[in-house]
Amino acid sequence: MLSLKLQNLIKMLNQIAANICLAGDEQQAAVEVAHHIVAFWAKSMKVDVIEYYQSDGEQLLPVSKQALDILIANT
Amino acid sequence: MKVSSMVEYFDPATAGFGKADFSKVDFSKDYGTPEVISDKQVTLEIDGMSISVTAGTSVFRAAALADINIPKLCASDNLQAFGSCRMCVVEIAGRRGMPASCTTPVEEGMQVTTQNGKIAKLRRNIMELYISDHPLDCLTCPSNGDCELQDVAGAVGLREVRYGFSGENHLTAEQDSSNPYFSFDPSKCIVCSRCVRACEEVQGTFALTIDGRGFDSKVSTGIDSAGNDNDFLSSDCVSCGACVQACPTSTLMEKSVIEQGQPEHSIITTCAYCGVGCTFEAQMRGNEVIRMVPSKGGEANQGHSCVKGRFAFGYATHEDRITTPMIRHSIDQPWQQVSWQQAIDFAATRFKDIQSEHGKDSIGGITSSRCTNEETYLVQKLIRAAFGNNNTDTCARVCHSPTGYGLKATLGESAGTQTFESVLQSDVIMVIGANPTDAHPVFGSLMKKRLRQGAKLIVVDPRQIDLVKSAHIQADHHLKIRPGTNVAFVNAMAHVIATEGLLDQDFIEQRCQQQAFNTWLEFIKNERHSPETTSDITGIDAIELRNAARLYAGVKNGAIFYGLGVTEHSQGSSMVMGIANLALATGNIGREGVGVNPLRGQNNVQGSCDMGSFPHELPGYQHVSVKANRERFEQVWQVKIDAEPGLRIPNMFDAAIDGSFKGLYCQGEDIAQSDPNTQHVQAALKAMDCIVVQDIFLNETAKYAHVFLPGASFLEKDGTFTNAERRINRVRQVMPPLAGMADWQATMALSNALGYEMNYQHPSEIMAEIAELTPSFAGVSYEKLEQLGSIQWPCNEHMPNGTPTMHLHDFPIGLGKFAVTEFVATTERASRKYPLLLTTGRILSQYNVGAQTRRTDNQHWHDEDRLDIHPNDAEQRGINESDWVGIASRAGETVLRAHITEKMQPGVVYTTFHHPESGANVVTTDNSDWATNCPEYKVTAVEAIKVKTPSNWQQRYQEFSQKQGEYLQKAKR
Repeated sequence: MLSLKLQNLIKMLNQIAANICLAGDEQQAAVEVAHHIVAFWAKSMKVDVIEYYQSDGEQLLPVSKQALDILIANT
Repeated sequence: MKVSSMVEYFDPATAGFGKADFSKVDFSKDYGTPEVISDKQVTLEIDGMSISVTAGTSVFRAAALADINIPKLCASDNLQAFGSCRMCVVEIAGRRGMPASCTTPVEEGMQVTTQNGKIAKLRRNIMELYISDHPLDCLTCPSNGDCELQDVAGAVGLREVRYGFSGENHLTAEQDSSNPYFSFDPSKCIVCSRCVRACEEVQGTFALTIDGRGFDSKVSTGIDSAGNDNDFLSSDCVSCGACVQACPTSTLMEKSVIEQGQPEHSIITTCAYCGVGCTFEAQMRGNEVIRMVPSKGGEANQGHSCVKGRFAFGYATHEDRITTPMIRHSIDQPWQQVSWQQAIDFAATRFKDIQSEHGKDSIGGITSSRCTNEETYLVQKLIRAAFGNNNTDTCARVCHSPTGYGLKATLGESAGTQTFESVLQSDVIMVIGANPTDAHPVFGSLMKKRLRQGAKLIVVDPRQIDLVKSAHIQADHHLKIRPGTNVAFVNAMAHVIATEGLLDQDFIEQRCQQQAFNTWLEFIKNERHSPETTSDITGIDAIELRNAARLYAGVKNGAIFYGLGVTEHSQGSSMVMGIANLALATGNIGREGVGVNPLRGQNNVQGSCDMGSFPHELPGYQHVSVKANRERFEQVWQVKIDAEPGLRIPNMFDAAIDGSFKGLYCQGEDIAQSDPNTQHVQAALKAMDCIVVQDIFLNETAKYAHVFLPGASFLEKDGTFTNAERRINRVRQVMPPLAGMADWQATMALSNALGYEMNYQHPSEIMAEIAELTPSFAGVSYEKLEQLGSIQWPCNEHMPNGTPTMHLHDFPIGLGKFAVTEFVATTERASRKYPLLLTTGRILSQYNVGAQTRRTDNQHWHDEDRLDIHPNDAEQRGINESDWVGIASRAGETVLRAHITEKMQPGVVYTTFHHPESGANVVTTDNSDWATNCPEYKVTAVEAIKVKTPSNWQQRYQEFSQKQGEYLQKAKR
């Protein structure tokens, strides 16, 4: 059972991914989602969601996962 | 406060003889008739003096500008000339008789005589008639010392009343004391109609009229549906007080003046209620406020006010005010009164202990949108410098954070584009998800004035708000949108504009990024955004939407005003961007009468955002991750600033429940009542080790606090507020802080105890630091505010007196940027279990969580939150008017009494959140805006059923509140 905090983070990330869908260009959307996370999320939130992605990640949308790949690559 | 007028002037150089400089309008003087704006000047002669004024000005005003003061009773410079009292008669060379100077416009070469024996005799005769039906109790009359009738009687030299007082008269007319704030004593009425005209022209409510003819004429509050006479309270009157202010006698008089006498000095300050930011004269006797009178010189309100600002100030001295600091080790213990030093040391020690045990990021703070800019700046500075993290947020998180995000992304600045006054140039006004006549009443009145002049109106709202249809106002289109479908609607509007050739091509080519526009154009032209396709989603008729889009795009000036019905959605940010798209697409940006205008909820919510309250932005919206931004602050603050954004309010709650967030400094914000999913908030608050609440009352959040620092009301401190027009207004101390410290002083003490030194002697020094570090505030200082009255930011070397209209020639990001806004349906939708959609909002008489207004006589209008429900929905559920109804969502359940009204659409219910025991936010969910986490207050799927008892939550709330009340009583003993 995921913690409430983590459930919310997953929901938030997927919501961002759903709203930054640029006319089917997933790669560009992932870049924008990653940018959004960098710009607005606290460090602990990023750490928690990356940890979830690396250990499980099942509930994440494809664009969310790609965005986290970009984040991981840049840290 | 004096503010110069650009249009009309009296030039002493052209006068017949030397006099003082009258080139500035004196707002404490009544010039009799309104200012007339015209390019043409007319020169005339009054009492031998040559005077130049704008064409169309009345003779009365022309004389008054030259300080020739003609007596008057029915005229006032905030009302159109009426010409009924005949007191202002003059003689004009070459004309017969004696015309009223208020209704006579100036003409070139006119020669006017305002005083001679004949005129004096006529005026005395008129005054004699007035006084023959007026009680001669001047010495004991409440308006003694402030009575225009008395002044004019003196001015005309009335010495006797030949008619006696034995004839038929009105001296025994019955008084109406139904309004809690003012009384109506018709025995003193001279039927000048100023109250009636103020209600019509200034407020726009049309609650008053003159009933009867001749001797029987009287001011009437109309009749009810059964044909009985209304009193003030039962009438349509909204208690704005414009009539009271207009009354030249004591017929309409503040009860506070009747009870306490006339004020002896006054201080100009700014209202602490909504985001209109009205300027008031606090009229005082010693340290006591006798009455608040809106200042004619106030640029935001121009002499008008609402029931809250004018009358609901009594909370400041309410017995519930807590004026001694208190501490306790846990929330199941009684409070203990302590000294300021003890309370500050206790808080600092606990915060430091938490950080050493749980890490630097385990504490944070919430700045207040009700406090001043200077105070907000200090709280976020304390968090970033003394706490050493960016865990700062503000209540804008739960109201206008999507405005900040959406407008910055598209227009480059997180603020509205216009002045309020700009609405008087609008041809079409589109109001989306806002209810200005309730939530921003003074601006609502200005808007209604423009609508009566003929501007068209489009209202987009699930409810039939008063603006849709009220006296002399009828919306051209009311688009009854289904809650949660805003983006589908705004895309459909843009689709019509883009596909029907309504785009402003010149504006788009010159002012907008072409690539972003092309991407957007391709997106928006797609058939899935057509009104015919989206109609099933939004519930808006396709033809009506097409007509509304054509109307908005087809006029010269189209202005959009929006409120929390736009932002408080899972797609709040997308909707704000969608609105900006509409304005860009039609070229409705960068001049008067147009623009994108968020109506801000709280007095200083714009300011709290400007002052760096958000976890990712330093003051002036400077991102914390940008090294150059941090370095400038680091140099002045002499401390290292964390480069990572901090936690937002909902993230703080989640982290608290998770155990990683343990301490909170909360200034002037009641998260336990105002934030969504109350039970989640309560769990988070209970999970923390140290909550420091700084407030004027023991609010709902304080019931979970360990340290209570008594706050100061707006009357007790100096500072500035920034209203929805980016207008920085001075707040001036009119009485000493009841608890001995203003809020900025308490924050300073806490910072010093935490080891980060702050040492300001006055808020003006804090503003100097803000100006040094915030480019948009670079030119702001207290000296300049004294000089100009108010300043709209940006104020810098390019715009030294501020910027009334934004984006005149370019955007802060250079070119405007269209945003692709795909409609993504909220997960919160009606189902079999929860078939209704709940939306929440405000009412005129109460303000936000009600902490202030519930402690005033505004309770007379709204002493409980009700559930508004459509008759069909009520009938299906067997619900009658005033029945107790249980409202359940997936988050929780509460019980309210029903109010059945056709102003709701079927399937949608509505309530307010002004009373804590209502638990409106027990029902709202933790759904939020995708970009900013602004809660989705406006869409909650619920079911409503008839019940007999309060909800479990309400019963628990009552027990908990009673217990906390006892803990407070123990401290006071």
